Amino acid sequence: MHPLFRTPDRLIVMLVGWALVSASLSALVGGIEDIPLGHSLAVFAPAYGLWLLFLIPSYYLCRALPLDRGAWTKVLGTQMLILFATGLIWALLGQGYALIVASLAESIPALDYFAGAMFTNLVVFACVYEFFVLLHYLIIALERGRNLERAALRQEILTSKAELRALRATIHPHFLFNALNALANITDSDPAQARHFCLRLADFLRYSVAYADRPTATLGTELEHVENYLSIERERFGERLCTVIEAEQSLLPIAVPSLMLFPLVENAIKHGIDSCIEGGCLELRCGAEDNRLRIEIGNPVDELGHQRQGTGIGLISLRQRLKNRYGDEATLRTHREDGRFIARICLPLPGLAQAVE
Amino acid sequence: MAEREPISCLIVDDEPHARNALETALARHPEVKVVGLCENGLQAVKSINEQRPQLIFLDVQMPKLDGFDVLELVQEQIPFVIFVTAYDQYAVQAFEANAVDYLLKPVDPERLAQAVEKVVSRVGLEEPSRLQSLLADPVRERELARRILVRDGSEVHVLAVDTVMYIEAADDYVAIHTAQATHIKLDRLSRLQRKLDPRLFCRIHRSYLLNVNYLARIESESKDSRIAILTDKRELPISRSGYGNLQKLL
Repeated sequence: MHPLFRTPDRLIVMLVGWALVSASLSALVGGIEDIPLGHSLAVFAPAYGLWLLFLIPSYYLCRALPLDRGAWTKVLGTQMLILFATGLIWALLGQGYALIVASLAESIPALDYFAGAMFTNLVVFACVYEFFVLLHYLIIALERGRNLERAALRQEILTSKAELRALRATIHPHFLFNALNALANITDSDPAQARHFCLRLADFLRYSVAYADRPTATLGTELEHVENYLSIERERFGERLCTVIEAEQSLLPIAVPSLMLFPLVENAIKHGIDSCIEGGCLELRCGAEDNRLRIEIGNPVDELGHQRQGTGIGLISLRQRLKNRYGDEATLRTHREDGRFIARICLPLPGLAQAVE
Repeated sequence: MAEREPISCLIVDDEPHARNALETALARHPEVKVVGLCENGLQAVKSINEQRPQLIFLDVQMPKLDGFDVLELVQEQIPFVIFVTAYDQYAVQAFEANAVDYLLKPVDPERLAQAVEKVVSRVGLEEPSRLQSLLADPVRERELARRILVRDGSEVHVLAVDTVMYIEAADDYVAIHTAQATHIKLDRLSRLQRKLDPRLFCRIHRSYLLNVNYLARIESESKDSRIAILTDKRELPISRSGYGNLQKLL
């Protein structure tokens, strides 16, 4: 649809406006050609009204002849050709109309008027037509800009959604790599254990994939996921890794952001337990106090051990997710204390009945 | 080959399954004999020092002391080394450390056989390299050290650089002084200095590298002779160029 008529009120404005323009043009041309006002309005105004029939399709023509692609000369040539053609057609139509007026009202020398003002009319028509061509190109350029912006915006939204999904489900290739290595090591020596290991790994991956799309999970399933992860790492660390997980039974059905615990537990292993020559104990405790859910993850860290490079993205994205969901109501704080690294999450405690989304 | 004594070897890896898998795989090679399994760098240094194996299978990524740290600490008695690691990013470094071979985990039995073959062909013909290239290797000096590793017999100490008051050059050795103790390390003062933060450590004398955090004041004996008084009242000589270095730093 032509942008000037896209809505009914615009159509009305345009039609009324065009009627006024036609009347003014008639008065103007009448003045130039020395024709009484009443006569010029009767002969020219309706004829000028017909211009609209040519000016509207020009919009689609302009769209078909974009300025940026075709050569300028080609566009200019085509537009000129069309201008001549439409001018000619209008002249014929106008002549026809003048005939009708002349036969209806013999007192008005419509045909004479029309023939006399032909040159002036064609010049005015050409000006108006070219004005509309320029207007159309302007509208097209604006629309294209807006469309590009919209497409870019849509792309951005899609990307950030995908990023968020990917971040939530982040499984570092190193983890998979280590897991497969461990598996290769135990396949010969302990096939039953290898099979068990595969099942844990499958559970772990299944959860990561399934919950990448779901914003929340129960604390209970989150803890199971972490336990799966830890059982895989235990295979690698042997006695170096000890874990303590504590949560009150009543807290398990509570809805929490999905995949919230994994990045923290993974950090605790990667940057904590693995830096200590004797390994150590990872402690994860969940409790409720003052109507808030408090989760604390603590692990030993050896300041003088080799520091594994981390991206810090895990913590940043988790903080962002908590902020999106709870605003300032949720906190994630980390600190070091007596050779231990401690991460603490505090969330507002929803009613136990709150359903998992 | 059959009449030769098997080559004694040590497996160093922090993952129990990796150690066991390698031990099992080596059981198929009678030309080597596993004399010990070590689960970290500290144990490795101890075992190398006490058991003097001819060959070590050495993991790179381990807690606290990595494979390269182990080699740095046992420079005088280094055996043949085969690195066994999950990642290939250390390969260049490993060969610069004169490793016989570099195996990727999980270890492919055929590659293991090749590596063992290489060692067998070299034992008796040549001495294991003394890691000269590791000592001079710029790759190891890519970042400023946060810690200094020293060994006292079988015991390893990891010193945080900010606990080091000053380091003294003594022939081929350096004496590293902390508030509590003095540690001897086979190293050169200039090499050690390159690894340390230049904003913290200042060469005040040909034989002294001072941690400026432990400098209490400077006393002049004469125009060209000054003495650094440390926070625990110890005194160190400052040479003329050393005084220049100190002025630049402070």
